[in-house]
Amino acid sequence: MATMAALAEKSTKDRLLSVLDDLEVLSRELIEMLALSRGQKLPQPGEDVQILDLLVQRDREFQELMEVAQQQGKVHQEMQLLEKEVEKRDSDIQQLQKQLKEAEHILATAVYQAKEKLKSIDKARRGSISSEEIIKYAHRISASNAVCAPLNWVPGDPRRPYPTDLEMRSGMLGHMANLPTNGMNGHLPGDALAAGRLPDVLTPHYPWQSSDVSVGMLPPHHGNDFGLEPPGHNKENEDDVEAMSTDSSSSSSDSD
Amino acid sequence: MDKDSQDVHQELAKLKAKIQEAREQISSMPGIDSSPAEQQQQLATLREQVRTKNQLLQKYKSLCMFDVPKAS
Repeated sequence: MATMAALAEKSTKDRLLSVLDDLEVLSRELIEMLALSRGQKLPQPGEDVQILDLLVQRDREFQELMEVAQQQGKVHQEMQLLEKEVEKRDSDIQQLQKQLKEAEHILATAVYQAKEKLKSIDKARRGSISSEEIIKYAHRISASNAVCAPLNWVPGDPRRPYPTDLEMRSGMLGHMANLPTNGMNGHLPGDALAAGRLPDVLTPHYPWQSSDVSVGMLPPHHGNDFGLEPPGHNKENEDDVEAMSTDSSSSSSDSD
Repeated sequence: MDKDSQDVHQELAKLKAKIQEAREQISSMPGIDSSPAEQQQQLATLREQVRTKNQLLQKYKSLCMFDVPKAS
C-alpha cells in the first residue's frame, strides 16, 4: 500500500524508466536462462515461466504508462496555450496600469490647477474695485505725460517725463545748494538757463525762501571755502559766472 | 555452442541499445515530469488564472468613461 502510494506520487517519467529497467533485467535473465538451458538442466523448474509472466506483466504496465504519457502530452500542449494567454493578459494589465497611472497624474494636475484658479477668483472678488476708480487713477497717472508723450511733442521740445535739470535747480534742493553763491552765479536774465536757473516766471516761489536764505540760516555751504563774495548781486561775479556758464556741458556738479 | 553464445551476446547487445534508445526518448517526452494528478492541478490553476485576469480586464474596461467635449 505504501509502495503504491509512493508510486502514485512519482512522475510518469520515473515510472516509465523504472518499468523499462525491469523489462531490461527480465529479458536479459530470460535470454541467459534460455541460453543456459540448452546445455544443462534448469536449477529451478518453472523459473523461466515465472520470468516470462513477469515480463508480460511489466510490458502491460509499460503500455498503460505510455498511454498515460500520451494523454499527458496533450494536456501539456493545452497548458502551454494557457500560459501564453496568461502572459498576454499580464501584458494587457501592465499596459492598463500604466494608462491609469498617467490618467491619475493628469487629473491630479488639472484638479490642482482648478483649485488654484478658484483661489485666485475668490481673492479677486474679495478685493474688487470699481472700474470707474481704476479709470480715474489711470487718468491721474497719465496726466503728467509720464506714460506717453504729449500729442504736440516734437523732437527739440525741452519737456521730459522726468524732472529735468532746470526743474531740479529751481526746486528747494537747488536753491539750498546755490545759497552762498547767489552773488557769483549769474543773475542776468540772459544767463538764467545757462546758470541753471529757470526764469522767474517758472521758478517756484515759497514764502520762507527769500529772507531766510540771505541771512544764512541754512547750513553752511562749502562754497564759502573758496572765499567767495558775501551773498548779494555782484557784477564782477556775474562776469565770472558768465564765463564759466558758457561751457555747454555744465551740470549741477559744476556749480560746486 | 560458441557460435550460439556469440549470437546470444550480439542479440543482448542489440536489446541493450534499443532499451537505451527508449530511455532517451522517454526522457525527452514533454509533459510527463509530473504525475497526472499534479498535472491536472496545474491545468486547473492556469485556467483559474486566465479567468481571473480576463475578469479584471473586463471590469476596468467597462468602467464609466468621461464624456470629453471635442475641441471646436
